[in-house]
Amino acid sequence: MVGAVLAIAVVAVALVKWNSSGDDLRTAEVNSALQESAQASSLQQEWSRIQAEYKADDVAVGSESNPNIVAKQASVAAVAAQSDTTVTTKPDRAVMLTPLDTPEPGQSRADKVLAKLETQFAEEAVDDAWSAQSGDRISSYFSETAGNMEWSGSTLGDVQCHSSLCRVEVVHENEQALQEFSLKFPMQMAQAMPRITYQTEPRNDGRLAMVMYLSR
Amino acid sequence: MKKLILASLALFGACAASHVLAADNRQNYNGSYCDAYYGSQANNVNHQYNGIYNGLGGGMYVSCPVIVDEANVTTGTNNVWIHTSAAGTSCTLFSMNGNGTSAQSQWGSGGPGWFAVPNLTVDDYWGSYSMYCYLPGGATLNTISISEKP
Repeated sequence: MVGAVLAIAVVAVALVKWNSSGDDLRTAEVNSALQESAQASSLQQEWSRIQAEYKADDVAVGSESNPNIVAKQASVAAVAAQSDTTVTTKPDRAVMLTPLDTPEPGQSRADKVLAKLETQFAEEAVDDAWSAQSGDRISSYFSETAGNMEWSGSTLGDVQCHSSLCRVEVVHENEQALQEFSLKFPMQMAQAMPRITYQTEPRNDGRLAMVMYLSR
Repeated sequence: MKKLILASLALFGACAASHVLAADNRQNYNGSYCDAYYGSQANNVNHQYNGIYNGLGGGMYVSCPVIVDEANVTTGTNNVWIHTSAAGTSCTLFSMNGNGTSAQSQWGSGGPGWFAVPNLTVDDYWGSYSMYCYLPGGATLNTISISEKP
């Protein structure tokens, strides 16, 4: 109760002080507002100039030899070189990437997860029974589809299963084969190994190389 | 004084509740968003008010364009639930890379009623989600509920 009374007294004293120095305070506030307004106007002009500059750049988007873009890239690179921080694909609200930015290799979360799976797989002991059963399950999917007139265009490469993970390499003839595989293979494997983590790379011959980690 | 304390507690409670609600980063989709995976079967589905109905007379794949709402967060999902009218429904949820390849997939099956798909643990900054389901003949996929990591 005493505390509440003290708090009210403090607020009352502050209000009286504010009223007594009201004129000076308001004058200072007006001056401050005027200064801010001038700064805002200056910023507005700067922003308009930048927008106009970027509009000019937009006309020549796609031209890698555009001197404005080249100059900006050099400027950004110089700033990045001065910075101690490493630019990665890690989401960062301060550095807005575009889809055209080339991510640093090995920095994305997907790459990290794959690297972790590789390590886990390498360190994992082999459960002979599960390994054989899982390997057969994976191989039979391919032998069945390869024997089918509607062969999906996906060929099995190396298969290794340890105690909770299988590492599987597959080559797809084309994008259509990859789509068909992605539709059917997870459903076929799902009862035993519901989670699959993928890495797909285009090869020089136009085919697509996929490495998968299937986990039970 | 008691009123003051009670008012403070009420305010604190309201703040805490709004924080909990904000953490529930969930999107619910009506199943009628889905469509036949194969274009040749598009005439065999009904996009009903309560979901997508398979009128083929046999099982079919449907594709459901679920959305990545948290593009900045690439750690996957918190919960994925699906409601279907029939047993034997199964769904695979993919996190896709921006280039159209898969980063990860997870599979779940069940019904009738709700069943869960285990969580994805990775997605791509520029990628999307993709889901397709195997829907038995005469079944309706009613609802998909996905909660992303905030």
